[in-house]
Amino acid sequence: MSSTGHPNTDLQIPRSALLWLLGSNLAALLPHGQHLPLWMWGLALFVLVWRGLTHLGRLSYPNRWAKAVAVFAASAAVVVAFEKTFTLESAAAFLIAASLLKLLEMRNRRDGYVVVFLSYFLLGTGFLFDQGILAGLYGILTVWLLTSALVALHQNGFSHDAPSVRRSRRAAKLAAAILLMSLPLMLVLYLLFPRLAPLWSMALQSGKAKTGLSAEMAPGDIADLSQSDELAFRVSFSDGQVPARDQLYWRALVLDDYDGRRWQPSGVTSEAQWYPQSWQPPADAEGLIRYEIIQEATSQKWLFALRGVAAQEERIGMTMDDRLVVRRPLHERKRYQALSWPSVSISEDGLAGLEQRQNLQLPRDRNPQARAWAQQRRAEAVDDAAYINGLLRHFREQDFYYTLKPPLMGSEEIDDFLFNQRRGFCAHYAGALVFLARAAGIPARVVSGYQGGEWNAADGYLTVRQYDAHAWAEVWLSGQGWVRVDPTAAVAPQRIEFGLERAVAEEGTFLQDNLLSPHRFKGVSWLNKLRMEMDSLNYYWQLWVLSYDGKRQKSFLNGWLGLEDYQQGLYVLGGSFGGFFLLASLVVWWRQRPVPLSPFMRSWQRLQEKGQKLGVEPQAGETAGSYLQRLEQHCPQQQSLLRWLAGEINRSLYQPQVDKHQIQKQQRQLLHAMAKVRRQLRAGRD
Amino acid sequence: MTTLASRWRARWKRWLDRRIPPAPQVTLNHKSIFILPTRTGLLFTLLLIVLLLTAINYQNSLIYGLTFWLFSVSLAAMMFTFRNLSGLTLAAGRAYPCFAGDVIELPLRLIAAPKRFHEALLLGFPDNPSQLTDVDTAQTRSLALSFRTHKRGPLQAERLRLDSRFPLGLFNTWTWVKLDFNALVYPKPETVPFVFAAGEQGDKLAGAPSSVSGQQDFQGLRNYQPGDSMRQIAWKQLARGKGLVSKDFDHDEGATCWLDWDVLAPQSTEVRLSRLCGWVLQAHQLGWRYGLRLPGKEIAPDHSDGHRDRCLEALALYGFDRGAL
Repeated sequence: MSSTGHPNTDLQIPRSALLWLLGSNLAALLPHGQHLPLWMWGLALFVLVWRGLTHLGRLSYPNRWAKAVAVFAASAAVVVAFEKTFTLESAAAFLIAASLLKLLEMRNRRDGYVVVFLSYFLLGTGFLFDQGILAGLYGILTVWLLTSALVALHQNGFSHDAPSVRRSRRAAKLAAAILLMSLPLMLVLYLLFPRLAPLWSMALQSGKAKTGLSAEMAPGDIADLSQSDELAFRVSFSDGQVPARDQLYWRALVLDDYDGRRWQPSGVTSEAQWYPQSWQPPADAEGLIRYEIIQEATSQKWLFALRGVAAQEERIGMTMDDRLVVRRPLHERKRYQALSWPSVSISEDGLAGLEQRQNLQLPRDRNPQARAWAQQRRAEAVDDAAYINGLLRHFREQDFYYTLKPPLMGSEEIDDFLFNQRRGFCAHYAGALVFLARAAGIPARVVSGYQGGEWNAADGYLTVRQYDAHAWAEVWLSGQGWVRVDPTAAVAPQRIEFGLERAVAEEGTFLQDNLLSPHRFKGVSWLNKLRMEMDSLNYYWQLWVLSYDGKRQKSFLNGWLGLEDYQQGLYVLGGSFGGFFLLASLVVWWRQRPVPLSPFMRSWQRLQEKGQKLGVEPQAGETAGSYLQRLEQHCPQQQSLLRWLAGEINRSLYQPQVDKHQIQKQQRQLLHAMAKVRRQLRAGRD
Repeated sequence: MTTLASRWRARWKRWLDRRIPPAPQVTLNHKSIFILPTRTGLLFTLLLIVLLLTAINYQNSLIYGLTFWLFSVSLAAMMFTFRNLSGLTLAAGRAYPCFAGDVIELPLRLIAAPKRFHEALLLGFPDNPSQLTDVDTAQTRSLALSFRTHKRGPLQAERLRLDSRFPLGLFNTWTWVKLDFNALVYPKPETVPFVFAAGEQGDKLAGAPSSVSGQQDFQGLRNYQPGDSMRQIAWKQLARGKGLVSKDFDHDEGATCWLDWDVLAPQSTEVRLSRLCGWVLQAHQLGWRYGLRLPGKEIAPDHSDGHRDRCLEALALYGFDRGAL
């Protein structure tokens, strides 16, 4: 039973398989291109050329020393290139180096297995960096190439019957057939296999900095962010109730600590209550907005939500300053539900001592001009609200400009901004307003997040991109609690009503550093339409494929298949396996079903059975004539009958017949004759 | 231990004989095909586990998809590997006889199932070299398998093993087929000096100039006669342009003798058969007319290739209860 003596794995790699192996390995490498150091491509090229020349007989395999040096050099290069940081990128680079070196030294089939299996894994790790539709489609192509390589590896490389082109084509066809056949079971597994929470937290994460909001804000930061058209998140609203655009303030961070230059969270109000213990609005509250967000990975713990938010899911918490957070940094895309009650009053009865102090905090001795000016204006105003409105009016009526290219401010930033430059981006205005409020003794804070988004009417979702990043202010007014105040809306109302592009149209700085971005060409209608459709496609891809997790699976099982719980799901899973095997064995059975015998053969077999009872065993390969002859020796009394039958059979088998009716008639006569002989044989024995 | 092992082996053989009975022609189906994962298959399972863990820990849908696809591929591979053997027909051909201890080339035909391409089949007898071959759609492939014979008599070929890992190498499918090759193995010839039987008949080499065989002296040249063997022709004379002449030997061609079982009396049966076999071959080469006497069988003196084969066959089948082939 053992397979010893069957040199199945030590076989040399068939020549036609080598090209498959090199090509498919390269295909699995390509998606890693964006995060590989340049020398890695040098290594890949070197290996491919060397192995190709070996294939052609121009070079020999590397010897043991060369291999040892190569392994050492490649590992050292990986370590150096990634400066000893252990990230996903460096791990992938190490894996790639290993697979390339294996490719170089591979000789027999076992090496081929290692190369192909490593490449499958490389393809999988590629998905950690990019999960777009194109990456998915490219993955299908690569799986096909790799499977073809595996088939080619098992083809008979020593056969000279088929040219290697034909053999390769057959390998590709067979691989496609196998992959197509596995597709239904894959889908069943994809939908039904229990989606577990991570078994352990992966320390290994991408070292690439994610574009997005950072935890602290210097005035220029958001302006930098607005040069990126990367996706931040997408929102769909249930019940189709889409809030007005000027209500779409997506809060992410509350920055209540100012050191004279930067705004950052103090941490005073960032303590979270976790669902389901967290606050929920009354069910009959007026103007509730229910929405779902698919958020790109941020490597941060905050989520995005509208004002008055309540956590709706496990593992999501709600902070005291009205934001949603998660426990662990989001290294993957996250899909979550949220519920907001924008008109709710927050802390209208007063602030706790610590919070009050934090929201009035200002660095001592900075911006004296602004401070004095604020105190003077507050003294002139009737109350806090009037003072704030006065500030907005000041921004609107004086020559303040909204620009993506603010000038460099002096050391007393806010003084310089308010009284000299008067040009700034949203962060300048928000910072200045909060400073002026605090200087006048009104608790205030900067809030950063995103504002607006692009509404896709055809598919009903909102896309928010990095250039929608925004900063605004919140002030605490007695009796009203925290109230949003957006000075940008006073300076550049287009920013809020139409978005950044319109707001900086005159200046021409929209995505200035991003010349090829399709978002620059929103004016070209067909291009814009194409972009919107691509975006829809991506949205559905994210909705149905990428964010299919345990929760989604549960609702799918429940809603589509009517299954109550996992147990039933497991039964269905088991059932589909059973079905798969049942189908397979049915196919096998059908392919090998006994071919029905012709009437002549059936009759002849019955005659032989009769003969067998008389002691004349049919022999393998015996003709009807010789069998009848032996039968004749056994029953001499029926000699003439048997000879007549032999003659009939020979005549029917060998006489050329053209006429169909003639043939049928003869067949009938023959069957009749055989039946007669069978009866007679019985009679003869009695 | 050995007895236990051999008992299991015997039981295994009996079970195989019931499951895949010996026949001149065998078509493989689910009864005769075995299939198990290979070590490569286990490595692939490891790959799947690692991929699944990656998918779970990074909550990555595409890696989930890849994992499930590859898993389904491994199940499909089982079916495709099975299909590669299923439906294939192996038919024994008629082999030329050989001598015991020689390697016999057993002709075999592989007939493809309809619309099926059987690729990368490895065939061979245990402890004999294997061959890798393909059988194309609607094709019959003939090949000869080497098998080292051990015993004289009707050929008792072992079960031959046919296996394949095509297409993905994750599963190994194999079968043990016993085919009736219908070949004859002559005794291993042993070359010893002739001993002729004493007695009233055939006790010596009759009609030969010398009673000792094999001593052939050159007597002179004579004209070539049709029927002279190539060895007899005087090639040097021909080269000198003296025409076609034959060397005339003091030869014992046409001498008659009996090769007798009884003169080898004290030896064992197999030794006697081996020596008789050697004598038959020598006598045939010397051009004698020879007869063969075995217990219960006598073949009258004659000289022809057919006669030699008859004698060898009689020696091969001595003691076997079987008619002429």
